[in-house]
Amino acid sequence: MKNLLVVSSLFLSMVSCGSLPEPAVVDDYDQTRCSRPYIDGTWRFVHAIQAEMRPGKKGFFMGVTRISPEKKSIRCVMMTIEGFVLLDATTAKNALTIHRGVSPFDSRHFVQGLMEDIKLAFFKPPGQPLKAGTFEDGLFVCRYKSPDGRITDIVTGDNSAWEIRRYNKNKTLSRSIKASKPEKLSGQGGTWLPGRIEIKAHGMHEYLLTLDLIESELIAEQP
Amino acid sequence: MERPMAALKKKKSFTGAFVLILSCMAIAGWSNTWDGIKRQAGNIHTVQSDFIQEKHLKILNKPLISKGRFFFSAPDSLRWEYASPVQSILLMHEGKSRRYVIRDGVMVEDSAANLQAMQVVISEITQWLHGRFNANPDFHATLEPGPQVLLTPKEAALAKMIEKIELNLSDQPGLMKSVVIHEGKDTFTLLNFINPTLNQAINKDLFLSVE
Repeated sequence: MKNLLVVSSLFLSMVSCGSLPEPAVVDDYDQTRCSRPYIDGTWRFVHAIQAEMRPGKKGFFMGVTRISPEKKSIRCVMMTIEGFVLLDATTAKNALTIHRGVSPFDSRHFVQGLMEDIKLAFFKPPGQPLKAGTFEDGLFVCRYKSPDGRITDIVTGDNSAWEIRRYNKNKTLSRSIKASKPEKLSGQGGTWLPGRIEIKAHGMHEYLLTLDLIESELIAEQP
Repeated sequence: MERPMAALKKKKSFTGAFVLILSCMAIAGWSNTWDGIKRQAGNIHTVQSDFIQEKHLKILNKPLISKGRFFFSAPDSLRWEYASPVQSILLMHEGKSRRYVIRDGVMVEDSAANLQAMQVVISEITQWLHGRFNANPDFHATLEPGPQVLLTPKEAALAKMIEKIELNLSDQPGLMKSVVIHEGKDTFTLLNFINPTLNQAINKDLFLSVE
């Protein structure tokens, strides 16, 4: 009986933390909420990055990214705090180019994963939402389904914060990206940018990347 | 991202190269000859200076500016401190190295840094202090007009990380004006040193604690 309780508790824990929750669907909603996390135009960002590999073990980096959602292109430079370039890579239309990589950051596997995280944070899922509605906690969700069966939830509340959740085909949570500390930029269309973005990988290989915004610039040229 | 942390956990030998560059600040360096540099080197006990760091990248329209201050005490104590844009402190003393970053007002130790590599490089500092540029197995050293010490990596693996380092010596014996670290085409770091002072007493606690 005791074992059964343990297993049941574990199962409930897994369901509550990692499985796909179903919203109460609404048909008439403000569709701009589905776009809240996403920027228009080409932007350059400088972030201070904290990487947490396991609890209490943290590493620090600097990141410079140039992101164009329209062109589906990203250029990403990762540096040490002192400014040494570890990685300089571009992805455009799903073609990855590593301009410079210092081992182990020259691994295509690593860079592809990094780019996927950035895409998830900055590129809106294509097409229309599969459904939209509210969760029990009152948060609003726009749900997208990709052709490969993965689910992306864009979750918003009443303020400018947002969260993006990515579920695998088996409906387990694989990534969550949470924005906080919003900064409204005057002179750039009043754009709201998150002062902090937390990218969390769930599952077997957990990690947490915390990106604190240092500089942002809306740029005219395309990457 | 699939298992990126496995990559991040691996050693970052490049950090050691950075320490090597920092050690150059302690080169007692003005001269037009190696002998002159070595002679001045023998007089260096401490160095401290403000610095402004410019990071130049092709992706940036204007350089990323960092500001800070460093302290060095022979033979192997260093405190390299950034005040902006990311507050961080690198401490090295008696063969042990630590880095801290201030986040949300809290000092957090960087446990991913390759501090062992730093310690290896620290062992080079004594050689640099004595002006023994050629004693370093990783770099060719040449004395150029300026005066400037030009360091170029001997090994291809290191050259992939650093193409060359220019150490621009000050007119004032024992001081440097600037360091330029060339990592590749369009990618370099310029360190300008401001208000440097030599041989002023530095409290040992500065190298032991971030407080």
